Amino acid sequence: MLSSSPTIHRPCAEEILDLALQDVSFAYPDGTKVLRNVDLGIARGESIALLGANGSGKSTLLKLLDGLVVPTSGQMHAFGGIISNHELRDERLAAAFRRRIGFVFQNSDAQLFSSTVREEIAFGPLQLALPTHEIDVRIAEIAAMLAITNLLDRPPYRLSGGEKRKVAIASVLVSNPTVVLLDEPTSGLDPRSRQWLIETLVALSNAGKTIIVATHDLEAAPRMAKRAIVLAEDGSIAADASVDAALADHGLLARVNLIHDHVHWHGSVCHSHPHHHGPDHEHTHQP
Amino acid sequence: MHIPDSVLSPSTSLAAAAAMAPVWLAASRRVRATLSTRDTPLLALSSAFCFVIMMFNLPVFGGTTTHPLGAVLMAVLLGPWAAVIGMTSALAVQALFFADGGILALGANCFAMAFAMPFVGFCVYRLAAGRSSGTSARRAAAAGLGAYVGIVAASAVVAVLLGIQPALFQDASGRPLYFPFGLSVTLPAILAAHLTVGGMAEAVVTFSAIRCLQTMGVPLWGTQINTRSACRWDRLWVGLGALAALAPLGLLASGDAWGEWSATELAARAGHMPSGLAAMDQAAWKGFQLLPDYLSDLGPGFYVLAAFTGIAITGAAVALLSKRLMRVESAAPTVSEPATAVHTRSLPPTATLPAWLQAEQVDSVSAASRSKRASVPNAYAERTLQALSVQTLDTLRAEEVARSDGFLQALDARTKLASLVALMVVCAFLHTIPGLCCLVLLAAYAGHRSNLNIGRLQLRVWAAAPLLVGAVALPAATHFVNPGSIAFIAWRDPYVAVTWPGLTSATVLILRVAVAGTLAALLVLSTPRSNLFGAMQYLRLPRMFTSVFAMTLRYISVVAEAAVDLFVARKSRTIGKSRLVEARGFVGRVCGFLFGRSLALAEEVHDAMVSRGYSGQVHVAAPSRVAACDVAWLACTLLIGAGVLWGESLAL
Repeated sequence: MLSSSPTIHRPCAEEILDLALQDVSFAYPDGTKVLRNVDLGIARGESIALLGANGSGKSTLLKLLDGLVVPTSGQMHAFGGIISNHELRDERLAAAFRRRIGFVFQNSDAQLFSSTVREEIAFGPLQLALPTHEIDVRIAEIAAMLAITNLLDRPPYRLSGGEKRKVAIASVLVSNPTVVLLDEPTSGLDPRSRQWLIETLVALSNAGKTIIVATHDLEAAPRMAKRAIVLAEDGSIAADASVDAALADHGLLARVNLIHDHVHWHGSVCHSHPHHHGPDHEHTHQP
Repeated sequence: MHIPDSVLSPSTSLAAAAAMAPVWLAASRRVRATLSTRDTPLLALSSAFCFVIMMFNLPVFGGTTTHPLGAVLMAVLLGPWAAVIGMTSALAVQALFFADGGILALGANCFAMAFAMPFVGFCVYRLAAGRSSGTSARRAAAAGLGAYVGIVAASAVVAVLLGIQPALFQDASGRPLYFPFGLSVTLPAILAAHLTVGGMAEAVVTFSAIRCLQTMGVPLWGTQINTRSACRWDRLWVGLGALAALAPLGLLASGDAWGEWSATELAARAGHMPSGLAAMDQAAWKGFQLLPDYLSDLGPGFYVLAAFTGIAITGAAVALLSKRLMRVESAAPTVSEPATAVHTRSLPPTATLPAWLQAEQVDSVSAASRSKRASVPNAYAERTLQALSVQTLDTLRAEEVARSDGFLQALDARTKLASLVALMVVCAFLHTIPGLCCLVLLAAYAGHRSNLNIGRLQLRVWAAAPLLVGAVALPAATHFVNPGSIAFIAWRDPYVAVTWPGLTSATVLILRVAVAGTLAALLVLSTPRSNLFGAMQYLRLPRMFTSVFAMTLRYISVVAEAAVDLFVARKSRTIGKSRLVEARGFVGRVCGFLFGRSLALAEEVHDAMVSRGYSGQVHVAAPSRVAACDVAWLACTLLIGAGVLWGESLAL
């Protein structure tokens, strides 16, 4: 059982590490500590679910991995090099880093800022100085893949939530990143869009992309990822194991506030079972 | 509170400027000692914020208005000396480009609003805040109190400066030479407005903004100096522009602030035209008048445009000033780790409903009290909501027209920008009505071929142009300015006659404004914003302006929708019509909230841009090749412009 002593999954030495964090902590300028002593290695082609309650630091960890914030202490390595403010100020190094990592934000409205969907998808490749004709080809192909060709000339603010999410994903995938970070990708989606998103992530994972998904959707997590990193509420890593093992450990999930006890009565019999809004309910009976 | 040039004697203005000189010198030294270039974005952001909130006029008694200033907010954030620099920048921009406050009177205005207000307000804030934490509500309340006292102090300075004029400067017959009302009038009139509405609004805006910034973790001046450098201010100031979407709120209050009247209005109120005032009004340079009176006469759209322009100019001015004033700091940001204990969170206890929540709802609002509330005449918030919705829709429609088929829409944006700007320059050099009429016809034809509603466009432009330049055109039509053959006598005692040369001058002036307005409208309506900004960048316009304009315009709709949501949410919880004082308070809170929200949004947008490779310079798609039709259009417009100029020179 993981609840007694969290197992830490470390990629084998011969595996190629895309991203690695060594004893990383992070605090915001107001002093709020969000991440504590995070040790993490992410190998090429892995699919990882970052699980944790609200405020546990999932989004901050994704921002760290994307180089949007730098650790307060500890070191971050990406694609064989150290990532710090110094490296990110070097335009050449920063461009190389950005080219290989893409981030789909939780709030699509913040990510979509261009006048049309076409311009939105072209923004990333233009900043990375890709040739114009190649950008045009990529836009057409990614739009066809995500079935948004009919949206290309529409303004993003006129789209529905699901369409905005598709455009946000297209605007990241068009740069062909090696690592794709997604922050709560299933939140606010209807069942069909949710299913489409999961299938897309599986396809990307099968194509060799490294997928890191921050979520507290315990039903979707095992379908999107194989490895789970569970964050405790104080920002430390509570467990690093396979998704199935992590989700089977109800003690761990209850401790990190991902599930809670649900008590109800059937006549004179009181039922109490760990509960989350997924399919996995385990019932225990009390007299 | 912005004193115009004509109401102060030149000696008073010069004395005030001389009094401000050591303050400016000391402020520049203190700012160099305490701030680095890393603080430039925050200073620019604060100055631009002050500029924008000064456009939010609030009605007070007597048909006059007042508005918040924001000087104490800036002092609380950056210190009082930085507030001197920031407020001076904002006031100078207003005087130079927006005809708000006199050029010669800049020293007097700065003395009141850039010196007295931030220092008095900051002292009160420090006393009231005591040793409270930088994130405490007490500190925000202290800032609100300081803002209240600060604006009252500034208004007292203005009242004294205006009120001493009749006693100090009189003509041979003993009548005032400049401002005609004495201290017995100015002190109660100005102080009463600021002790009530102005002071309360200033306090509410300052308190709300500080509270929002505290919740976002923004350190206040003197509380967490070490962490200030870790805040990435350079990402945040773009978000301020979005607040300008609310600028039309200021148009709901009609009338000028007390003492900010034009010379003619002041003469009408005093019963005579003071001779020194008239001479100063004629002789004083009134600045560049880029957007006089913030284009408030042209409606909410132009008012918002003026707000954006003000943000950009103020931001640029402060940025340029900071380069000279502040020390350059390039060290990597450091984050201090306060020795806080490891905090643990626990689940809240299971909710137990209070008894009143379980009881059945009883209608406790009596018919009498409901009737009383509903009888208060006020549609302030509702009109605001409507104006915001209409503005957002207009913005969206403009982009739809630009993306439709049409003659101008098919042209390359760079060619179109160059040609229409060239025609505007030609328009500025034309002196005859026929020449200008040629350009009117050309613009109307281009608009018609572009499927624009040219009738509606012309109606708006022609309705706005006389209002825009009426103050200048009307005197120009009289025999005082343009003597010549009399067209008709407007007034017999005092004798005012309109002359034919005067009428011609006034018509030419109005025609110029109308033509330039039509050409600018054609450019904006027929060009998608992204293409327009791309063309501006291609033609080497400063990237700061184009980037700020582009990002601001993109997020107007998001922030406007947020504002609309807030009004709808309030309406859903309001019974009957709200009282004026409640509506004012709510608007102040909305301003503060949206300020914080626009900052947070700017942070998110910037992260999303950086994540996709943005490194401080937006790369746009390579422009398409200029087609033959673009060259032909450019050549045609240049030829027509040159032809009209040549024809006019022959006729003259």
